[in-house]
Amino acid sequence: MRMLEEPVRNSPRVLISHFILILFIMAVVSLSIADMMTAPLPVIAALTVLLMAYDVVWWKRTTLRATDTELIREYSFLYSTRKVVPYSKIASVNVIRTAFDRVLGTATIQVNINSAVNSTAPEISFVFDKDTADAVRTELSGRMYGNAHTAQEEHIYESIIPFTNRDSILHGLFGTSTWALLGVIASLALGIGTELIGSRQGSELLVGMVVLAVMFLLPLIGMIIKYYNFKVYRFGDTVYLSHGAIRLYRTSFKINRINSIRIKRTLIARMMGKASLEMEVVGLTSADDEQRPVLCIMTDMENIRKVIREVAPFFEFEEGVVQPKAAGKVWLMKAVYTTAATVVLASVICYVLNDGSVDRALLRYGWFATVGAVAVLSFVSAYRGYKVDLFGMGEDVFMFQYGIVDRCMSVMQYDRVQIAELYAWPLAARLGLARCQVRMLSSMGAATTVSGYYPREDLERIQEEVMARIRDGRYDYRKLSF
Amino acid sequence: MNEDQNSGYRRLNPKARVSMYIGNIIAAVIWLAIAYIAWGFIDGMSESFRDLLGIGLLVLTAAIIVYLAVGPLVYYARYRYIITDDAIDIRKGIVILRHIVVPIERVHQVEVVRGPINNLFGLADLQVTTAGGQAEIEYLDNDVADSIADDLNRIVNSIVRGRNEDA
Repeated sequence: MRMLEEPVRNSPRVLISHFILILFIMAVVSLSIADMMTAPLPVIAALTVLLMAYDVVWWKRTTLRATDTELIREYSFLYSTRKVVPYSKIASVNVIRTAFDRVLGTATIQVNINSAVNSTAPEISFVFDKDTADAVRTELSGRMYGNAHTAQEEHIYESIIPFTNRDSILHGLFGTSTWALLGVIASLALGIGTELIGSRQGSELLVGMVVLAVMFLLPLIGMIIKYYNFKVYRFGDTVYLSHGAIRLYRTSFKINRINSIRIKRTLIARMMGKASLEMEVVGLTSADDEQRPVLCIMTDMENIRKVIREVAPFFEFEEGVVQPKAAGKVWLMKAVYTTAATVVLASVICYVLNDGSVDRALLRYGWFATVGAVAVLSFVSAYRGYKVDLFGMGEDVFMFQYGIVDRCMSVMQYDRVQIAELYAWPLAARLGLARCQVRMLSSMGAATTVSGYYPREDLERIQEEVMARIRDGRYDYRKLSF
Repeated sequence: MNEDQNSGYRRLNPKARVSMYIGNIIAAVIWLAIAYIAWGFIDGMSESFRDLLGIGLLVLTAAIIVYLAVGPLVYYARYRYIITDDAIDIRKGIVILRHIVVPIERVHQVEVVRGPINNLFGLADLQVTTAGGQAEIEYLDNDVADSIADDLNRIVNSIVRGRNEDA
C-alpha cells in the first residue's frame, strides 16, 4: 500500500512541539514586557490561544501527496500554496530525528532539490510518526530510484568501510581547520601564560578557556555526535548515508547528483596518514549546519580510495602535474611583496612610536621579530604553495590540489562548471601563466575553486573542454555525465 | 566597426570611455572629500604622526587619481567580448587580466541594467546569472544590450522548452 497516494498530514504530534515553542516564546515576551505594560497577561493569553488555533488550522490544511512523477505539498487558509517537486529534480531525501523527535516518537522527512536559491534549505519538510517516516522514505526511494528497500532492510547492508566510533572521534578532533585549532591553542596558551605570570588574577585564563570551549570543544563534540555510527553504502545508483548519536541522519541521493568531491587532509590528518572525503551534493547541507556533506569521515587513505572506487569511481584521480618553474617566480614575488609591505608598515609604526614613550630596544626587537616572522611565513608559504598545487584533466573530470597547511584535492565534473575564469596578475601574465577560477553550484550555494599558476593555454583547455562537451553532446542534462 | 576582424571579438563603443571617466570623476571627487576630512584629523595630531600619515594619504590619493585617470583607457583598450551560439566569452582587466567563459546552457537569468551615467550615453550593462554566480558585459549600446538579451533569452527558453518536452 502506497501511503502518499492519498493526501497525508503532518503527524499530530508535531503540534505538541509547536505548542511548547509558542508557550516558551510567549512566556519570554510576557516576562520582558511585564514592566512596560500594566495588564499584559490577558493579551498574551489571547495571542497564545490564537497562535495555537492557527497552528491547528495549519496542521489540518497542510497535506503531502505523491503522483507517479512528482511530490506535491499543498496548503490553503488565508492564502494558499501548492509546491510541486518533480522526482527528476530531487537531489536527496533525508530523514532527521532530533532529540525532540525522539521524545515525541516522530521523524522529519526533508526533500531537497538541486537549486542555487534553496541550496541549504529543504524544499519540503514534513513530520511523520517514526515508522511512517521510514515507510514514506522507502516509498519515495521506490518512486525516485526504483529501489524501495525498508529501513529494516537497510540495517542489513554493510558499510563500504567498517567505521569505528574512534574514527568519529578522530574526525571530530582533527577534521577541523588547522588554523582554527592553532588559534584556540594560542588563546589557551595566552590564558595559561598570563595565569603563570600572575598579572591579572587568571581572568585571561578564563577567557582562553571560554574561547577554547566555544570555538573548539563545542563544535568538536558536535562533530563527534553528528558522525557517530557513520555508515556509507551504495545500492544500485543510490548512495545511502546514516550517522548520528542524538540527532539521526539518514540520507539517500543518486550518484549522478555529486557535482564534485574533495579529499581533505588537515595537517594532523596528514601526519597520521589519514584523510576525509567531502562531496558537493546540493540539498545535503541543512541551514543550521553549514558544513559540507561528508561522504567518508577521517580514515586511512586506502579506505578513502575504496569509498571513491565503490561509490563514485568516475571521480578517481591519481595523476596531476606540478606547477612549471616559472610559477616559482610568481610565488617568490608574492612573498617578497608581503615582506616588503611588512617592512614598510613595521617601520612606520616604529617611527611613530619612537617618541620616547616606548623603549627603543623593545621597538628594535619588535621590528625584527615581526618582519622576521612574516618573512619566514611568507617564504615558507610561497615554497609550499609552489610545491603543493597540482592540476590534472581527465575524460569527465578535472582536478585542482591546493592548500598550504590543510591540503585539499578537489575533483570536479566539467559538466557542472557554471563559469570558468582565467586571471593573471602582471608578473604571471608576463610569464604566460594564469590561475583558473571555477564557479560551481555547491552544497552551500555558489562556490569557487582556484588552481595554482599554470600556462594560460593549459588552463584554457578546461574552458574549451566544458564547451566541447556541450557542443558534441557528451554533456546531457538528463544523465548528468554519468 | 567595433569588431576585431581576425578574432571575431567585439570591442566597446568609444562612448564607454566617456561614461567610465564621468564615473571616475565622481569617484575622485568623493575620495578627495574623504581625504580632505581625513587631513583635518591628521593635522591635529602630533608631528611624527602628522608627517607620516600626511605622506601616506598623499601617496594613496595620487595612486587613486592615476588609477582613475588611466584606468578607463586601459580597460577600454583591453575589453573584448564575443557571444557565440553556445558561450559568452569576455576578456577584460586593468591590472588583473581576466578571461571569462560562460556556457549559455548554464544561464538562468539575463538582465539589462541601465545606471544613471550609462543612461546619459545610451549604454547598458548586461548581467547573466548562472547557478554558480554572475558575469557581466558592461558598457554596451542600449540596442546591442537589448538585442543580446533577447537572443540569450530565446536560446535559454528554447533549452528549457526542449527539456520540458523531453520530460
